[in-house]
Order: sequence, then structure tokens, then C-alpha cells
Amino acid sequence: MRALDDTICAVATPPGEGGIAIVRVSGPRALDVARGLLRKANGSELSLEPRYATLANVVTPGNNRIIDEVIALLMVAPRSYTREDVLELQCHGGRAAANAVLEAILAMGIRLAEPGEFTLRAFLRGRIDLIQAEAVADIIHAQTADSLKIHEGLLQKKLSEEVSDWQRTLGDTLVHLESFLDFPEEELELQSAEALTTPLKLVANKMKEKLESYSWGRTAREGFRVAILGLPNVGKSSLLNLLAEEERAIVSPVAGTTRDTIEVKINALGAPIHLVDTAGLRASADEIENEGVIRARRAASEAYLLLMVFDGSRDLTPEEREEARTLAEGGSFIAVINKSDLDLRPSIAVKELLGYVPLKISAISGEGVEELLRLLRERAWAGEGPTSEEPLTRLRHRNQVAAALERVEQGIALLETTEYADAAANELQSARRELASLLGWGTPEEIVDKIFEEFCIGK
Amino acid sequence: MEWRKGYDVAVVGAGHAGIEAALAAARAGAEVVLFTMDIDAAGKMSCNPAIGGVAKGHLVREVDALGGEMGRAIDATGIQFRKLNTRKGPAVWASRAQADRHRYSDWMRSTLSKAKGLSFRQEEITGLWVERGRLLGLHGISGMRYRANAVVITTGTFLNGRIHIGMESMPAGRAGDPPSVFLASDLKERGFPMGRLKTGTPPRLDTRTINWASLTEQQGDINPTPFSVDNECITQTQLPCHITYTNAKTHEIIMGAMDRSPLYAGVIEGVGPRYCPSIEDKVVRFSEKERHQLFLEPDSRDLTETYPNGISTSLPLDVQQALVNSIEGLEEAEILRPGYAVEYDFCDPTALFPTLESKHLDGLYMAGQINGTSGYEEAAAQGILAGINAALKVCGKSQMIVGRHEGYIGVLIDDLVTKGTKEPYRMFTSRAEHRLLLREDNADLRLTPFGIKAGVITDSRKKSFKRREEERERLRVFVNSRNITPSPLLNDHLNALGTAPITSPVKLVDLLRRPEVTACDLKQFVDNWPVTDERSEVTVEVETKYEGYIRRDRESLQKLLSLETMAIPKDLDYKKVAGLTIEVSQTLESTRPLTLGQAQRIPGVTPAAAAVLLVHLRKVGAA
Repeated sequence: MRALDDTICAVATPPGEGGIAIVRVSGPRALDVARGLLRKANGSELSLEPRYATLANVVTPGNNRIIDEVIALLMVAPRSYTREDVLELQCHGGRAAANAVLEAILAMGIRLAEPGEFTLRAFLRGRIDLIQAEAVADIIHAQTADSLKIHEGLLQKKLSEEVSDWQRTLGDTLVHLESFLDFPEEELELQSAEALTTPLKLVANKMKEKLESYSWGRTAREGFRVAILGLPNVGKSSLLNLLAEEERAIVSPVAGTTRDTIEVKINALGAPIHLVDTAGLRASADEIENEGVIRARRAASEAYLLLMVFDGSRDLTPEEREEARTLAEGGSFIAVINKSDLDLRPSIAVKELLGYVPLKISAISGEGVEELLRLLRERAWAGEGPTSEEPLTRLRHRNQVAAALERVEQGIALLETTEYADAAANELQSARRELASLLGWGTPEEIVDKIFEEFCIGK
Repeated sequence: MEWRKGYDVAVVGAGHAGIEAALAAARAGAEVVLFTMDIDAAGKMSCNPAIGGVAKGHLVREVDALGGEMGRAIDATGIQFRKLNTRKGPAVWASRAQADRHRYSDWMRSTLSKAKGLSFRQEEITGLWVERGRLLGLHGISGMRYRANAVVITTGTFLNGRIHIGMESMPAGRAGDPPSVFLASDLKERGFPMGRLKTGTPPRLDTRTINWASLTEQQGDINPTPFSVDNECITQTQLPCHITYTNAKTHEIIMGAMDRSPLYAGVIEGVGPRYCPSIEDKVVRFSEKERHQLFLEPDSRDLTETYPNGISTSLPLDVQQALVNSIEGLEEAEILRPGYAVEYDFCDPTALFPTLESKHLDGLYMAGQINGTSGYEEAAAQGILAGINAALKVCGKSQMIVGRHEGYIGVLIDDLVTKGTKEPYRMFTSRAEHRLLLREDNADLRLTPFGIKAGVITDSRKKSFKRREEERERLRVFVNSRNITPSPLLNDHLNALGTAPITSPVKLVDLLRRPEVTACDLKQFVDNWPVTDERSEVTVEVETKYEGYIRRDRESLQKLLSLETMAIPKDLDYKKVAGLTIEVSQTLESTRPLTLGQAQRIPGVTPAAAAVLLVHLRKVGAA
């Protein structure tokens, strides 16, 4: 791992053309950079008032050649993102200006930041907790307005505050338990088991609700994985292209055109969806096509939802019936009859087979696509949709809350059925530790693991 | 002038810490001298005549497991034995006993006089004998210098002690005994970080003047478990205690005299223990409570002195007399000795290593109230560890450090040297994160191996330890392999215990897992029960009932142990550790923790700072 207290810099805006590009400097030498590179329009030195935007020229030290005209912002430690001195320079857009400014800063011996390093510093200095640090990364990758909103909420500490509330409740109960255990001479009677467990049960219920939110919260972060499955040449790739609004997959009348899986991210009325097009399911003598079928099945097992496509122009084949039945048993699905512009005979067969009225669509005319998007959206948000409540978006969050819940429930059971208040106290303390880990304040080793996992530092 | 004989270890103070330190060092084979200002006052119980209690009972058993004297002394001289918390879960079951305080200190005095390799001397120590930064021994008020390779200081409340009764105050280490003033200024001049603490004691009452008939009696346990594994049972007759309460009138008397309370009039600067407050503190801070409980405890078998536990006070004597007489049963009671508060100097324990050796002066150890603790048991626990380490140091052997997961001794010392203390530190079970592992019943299993390694365990104790270990193992195997068959007698018994009868043979362990069933319940229904010692039964029973919890506790412990074993180089320059804030690196610089585990417990060291330190140590370790 690199030093954590030297000065780092990076272009903070994404590559490409834009109105402005921001170069950010953080660390003890941020002020040096301002002093060394920034000049007033008349070439004289300038001093920056913290937290005020100041127009300045960035110049080459020595010859005072102007590199770019910028808006400079200075934030003094600890009132900054990293809790260090931070200098932000808003350069002209495009890569060239920002890169030239960055070059000048690097020439002063400032180090180029590694990915995520500003956020890492904010985390290690206690400015943000781990949930917030994760939210920063997730905001950058958010695909839709709804998932952005959810991650903004996480950054605003909404989930962190709920978790802290649970910790406080556990702590309050522990105070009662511990004084009961440690002060027998004070005639402290243990509050009735009911009085002790009532707040614990409230917390446990909140945790349970929170765990349920993962079913749609994960959609916000990962996108909702949907595998398109069916026999060859039923129009899976046409459907993918239609939903993706681009010619992403090759479409041809030849059965078995799609060999490898093709993934595409779409925005289904606000829900981020990962569509996976797969090879048509059939036994084949072709080795490559067989591999494609293996991949299709893997995609099916990794997906949260199967989009089963049937050809509306012909009857179901026996092998198609068998496939469909097996797939339907394996997970949740939506069945669609494609080529609705042709014939609809299979519709009744599918309904009989799967107990589900299939959606009729036409990949050619676009009929039924709106309805399909609505269905996908509903499934992606598990019927909940983004609400004001903050969901769990990561498996890590889900696992920590589940572990804490298990300990709380065990603690409640001990208090209700035994005299083992000491073991109950242990359970509640373990629950608090799990929640501390959720916020990123576990053992030093856990924290270091997170650092390597989340911030791609020094690998 | 230098005394004609030099010593390996010199101990200053013959209280509960000093006695254990001196005896342990002598057991380890060191030539020991124990200095006290008054030989007749060795092992005195200056306050409550009782040993044990929650977490304190655990400490006594740990001292005993290390070969210490406290457990044997209270077993021999106790006048009432009670197990506390019997209905709260085995980790907090705790032994407590009232002592005949005269016989207790006689026992200690006699043990000291019989100990091999130990000289006992009356001498006031006035300062450390240090030359060119090296500790050579001690200076006495007699003008003698005593050469010693290691020194253990256990000054109790004597270091610059001052007692207060009302607005009157006088220099004293305890009522009637002069304080140690020279040593206090010597330590201060040498730059030891000193602070001031306060504690207090209630007035003692004339037993004959109490109206016992009106009070609730509290008897001891019928078949108490001894504190020491050397003893099979307690045979002496026990005396009852009595319970009474303060009332509105008592509280009125106290509130009316606040202007004459040295605590509230600002005369006392030292910080008192929140957990053992004076009656004036209780009345002020818990004004909503209508009454406070008092235990009237006999102080000896032969004399007529009663200790009213619960009304520690430094109010003026006339107020003390009035408040005593306002209490039911004490209407006619006469005060034999007044209660008082005592202020004394202590040294900031963060200046010590977890071995209790000073970070600033090689060979100097400190134990007991000088480290900011309160209680005889806390003192004895530190004393025995300091004594053992002083002896090990002299022989050039590696020091003994007890981990937080291995004993309350470990928790106590780690808390002191890592966090320091702002008030007299008392042990609680809630201070131990691995409470389920640190029980009274397994103290010997946890700590006697430490004692054996340090060479302070006698051969006969080693033998009995091995026997107990084998007994427990035998019983474990027995309950896990043996079936118990249903019988009308057994099922009647199970019904009576409030648990379901059995219909087919089951493993003993399956019944023992039930919260309602004890080993004692089962042994009458099985042949060839393999053990006789009830203490072994308790251990196996608790391990069985708590199996899942104990296993999980051990698993979480494994994670933490890697931190405890990650050593921090003694000369680490924290300023050069990338990523530490200035405040944290200064905190670490001044405490100089030995391991990463200790570092992360220091107040102000955030989890993130500990992670940064871990990264640095790994880098250094890899280099």
C-alpha cells in the first residue's frame, strides 16, 4: 500500500469532452501547489480564501507561461472530503487542458492518486463509513435515476444511521443486563424478560424488513440479471436488440446464430436491467454450439429472472415443452410469445404448460414491448420499487445484517427461556460487533481486507 | 550506608498486593525482602472485611491458581460464605466471604514469617536508589540503602495519604497510621506521572448496641465451595449478616450537613469510585431513591465490631452518629471508629508494560492502588503478577503476560496499562469480552499452567492440578459416551425439575444440556460416576450447557488473537507510519503498546488507525 499522508492528485472528472474538467489535489502540499502554480491575471501571486471560488491562471513555474485559466477552490483540513487540505481546479473541458494542469502538478513532485484513493482517505480518517464509501463507488456506476437516488441516500448516511440506531438499542439493553449481572448487592431485579426483549424484537423486525429489501436493493447496484432463453430461432436476439434499442446481437434466419452469451444493460422504465442473450437450447453436433448451450444454462442459473421466448409461428415441440417445464421449476420467469404478428396458437399451449398467460410481443413491430418493460421493472424492484426506505444493496450488507439478526434472535430466546443472562449479553455484544463491521469498523484486519477489496489500492 | 545483604527482589508495602508479590517472588526462588511501615499491620483489611464478589471472586481464584495466598487465607478465616448470582448464568456465578479480619491478617503475618527466602522488615522506604539511570535498590528512613535487582512498589492509600472527617483533615495512610510522604515526593521528582484518587470507609459500630431482633437475617450458604483448590470444604461455623435500610430521615440529616461534607465543600480533589460511592454521593445522585440498603457485617468472631456496608462517609462525626441512629435497628448504635475519606497519590498505569514493569525504569514494578485500582482482590491479582515478573526478571527469564481471554488478571492489567484510569478501578465481569471462558470453576485450568511455567507452583499442587485435569477429562468422556435409561425414579426427578421425562435411553450429555438438569441430579441414576470433586462436575456441566456459545466465543477469539500476537517494535517511530493522524501517533508514542491488539484498545486509536498500523507492520515485517 502506498503512503497515506503524502499529497496526491488526479483528474476527477470522467474522460471525454465536457464543459469543465476538475483536477483535484489532496494532502499536506495542496497549499504549495496553489502557491506555486496559481497567478492572478496580471501575473502576480494570489492567495486563496478557503471555500471561495477564485479565478486564476495556472502557470508553468519559472517562465510563468499560462497553461489554463481555472476556477480554484481551496478546502482546508479537516473540512474537506479527505479531511486533508484539498485544492480543486476547474479547468476548461476536454482532456488536454486538465492533463496539462495535471502535468504541472506532477512536475512539483506530487503523486498521481490511485483509483479510489481520495475516498479511501476519507474512510480511513473517519470522514465517511464503509457504507458511504461503497455508495461513492456505486453512484459513479449508477445506471438509472432510481438507482442513483438509492445510492445518494446511502451516501447521506440513511442506512448508516439506521444501523447506529440498532446498535444504540442493543447497547441500552446491554446496560440493563450488565448491571444486573455485575451488581447483585444493589437489589437490581432484572426487568421482566418482556421489558428487555420488546425493544430487541423491534430491532429484529426492522432487521428482517431490511433483509427483505435486498431482493430489490441489489437491483439498484448490480442491475437485475435477466437471461433470455428459448429454442434456436425463436427471436431471442431480435428481442434483445429491440429492448436495447440498438443492433447489439447478430440476427439471421439461420438457427443457432448466437453462440456466446451477449450482455447488455438497459433502463426498463427506471429499473437497471442486465439482459443476457443466449444460444438457442438444442442438442447439436457442433462443438461450439454445444459450448454455447452450456453457457446459456449457466446464464440461466445466474439470472434472477428468465425470459422464456416461444415462437408464435409454430406449435411447441416436445423438447421445447420439456425444456420449458424444467426451466420454470428452476426459477422465476416471464414467458413471451414472439412473432405475434404471425400466429398465436402456441399461446394456449404455453398457458397449459406453465400455468401462465404468456405475453404476446412482436420483435418486428414492437407490439407488447412497453408491457414487457413494465413487467421487467416490476420484477426488478420485487414489486416494491424504490421507496423512501433505504434498501440493502450489497451482499456484504445483507450478510452482516443477517449475522447480527441471528445473534439478536438467539439473545431473545435465551432471555425468554433461560436464566443465562450472561450468554444473552454475549449474543447482543456479538450482534453489535457484526453491525460495527457493516459500518466498516470491525477488526483492523477486516478493514484492511475491505481496503484491498473496494479501493484497488496497492494490489 | 548500604545494608550488609543484597536482595533479588524488594517489595514495598505489606498489604494485599505486597504480600502476594513477596510470597510469589520467594516461591519463584528469589531472595526477597518485604518492607512495611508497621509489621503488625500486614494484610490488614482497612475497609470492608470481605473477600470476593462478582468478578472479584474470579480474581481470587485466579490468584489461587497461580499459587497465591488470598484464597487459602479466606477459606481458613471466613465467617460467612455466599455464592452470588446463582440464578444468572455460570459465567457470573461468584463467591464472596466475610472475613474475621483479625484472624485474616494473623494468617497472612504467619504465612510471611514461615515463607522460605523471605525477610520481613519494618522500615519506611523514602525513595528509589537510582544511579546513572539504573535502579539499584531502595533508601530507608533509617539511613540504610538496600540493594535489590528488582523492586515492587505497593503503597496502597499510603502514598501522600490524607484522611478527611468533616472539615478536619490530617496526613494518614489509614486512620491511625502515618502516610508515606518521602516516597511520594521521590517518585514525583523522578517524573513519574502522578494523580490523586479518593476512597472512603463507613463508621464501625459497637455490636452490642445494635437491636438485632428487628433486622432481617442473612445466612451463609450451607455447603460453600472453598476459594482455594487446596481445600475440599469449609468446616467452620458461619455467622449471619443482617440487612437494614436508610430512610427519609437519614437522607434529611445528610442533606442538612452538606456544607460540612469535604466531598461537596470542595476540600477533596481526588476522584472517588463511582461504583462504591459514599452515602452522601448516593443520596445526592439518586435522590429519587427512597432508601439505600445496608448490610451489617460482623468484623470478627471474638470482638464486638460491626461493619455497616453501604454507608461509607466523610461527614463530621456528629452527623455520622445522627445518620446511623436514624436507621432501623441502629437507633441506639454507638460508633466505635468514625468513617472517613482518604486521598492518596497514584501513578498513571499507562506508564507500565503489561508485565507491570515501568516503561521508564528497568526493574521497577508497581501493583495495587498505586496503579489506580480499588479492592483487595484487584491488588492481590496485580501483586502476584508483579512479584512473579520481578523474580523472572532477576533470573533473566521471559516475563509473564496474561491475555484478556485467559484471565481477569489479564483484563485488569491490560485495561490499566492501555487505558489508564480516572477513578479507582474495580473489576466487573462486563469488562471481559470473553466472559464465558473466564469462569470461577476453570480458573485453575486457565492459569495454573502459567504458574508452572514461572516456577511458582509447588509439587503437591502440580499433582493435584494434574488430577483435576484428568478428572474433568474422565467426566467429559463419561457423559458423552454413557447412556441413561428411563426409570420411574428418574422421570419423577425430571418432572420435579420441570423438564420432560425420557422414554428411551439417551446419552447423559443430552440430559445435561437441559438448563434445568445439573450433574448432581444425574449421578444418582448412573453407576460408576467417575469423579468425586464437585468442582470438576461444575466445569463439565457448564461446558456442556454452554457448548455452542463457548465454541463461537473461541472462534471469534481466533480472529482477535492474530492481533494480540502481532508485536509492535519497541522503537517504532509512529511519526513515520503513513496515514496516522498527528493526534493518534502522539497517543501511540506516549503509550507504546506492545502488540497491535493493545494498540487498538487505546482510547483515541480508531479502528481505521489500527488498520493503518497493521498495514505498516505487515510492510515492515515483509521487509
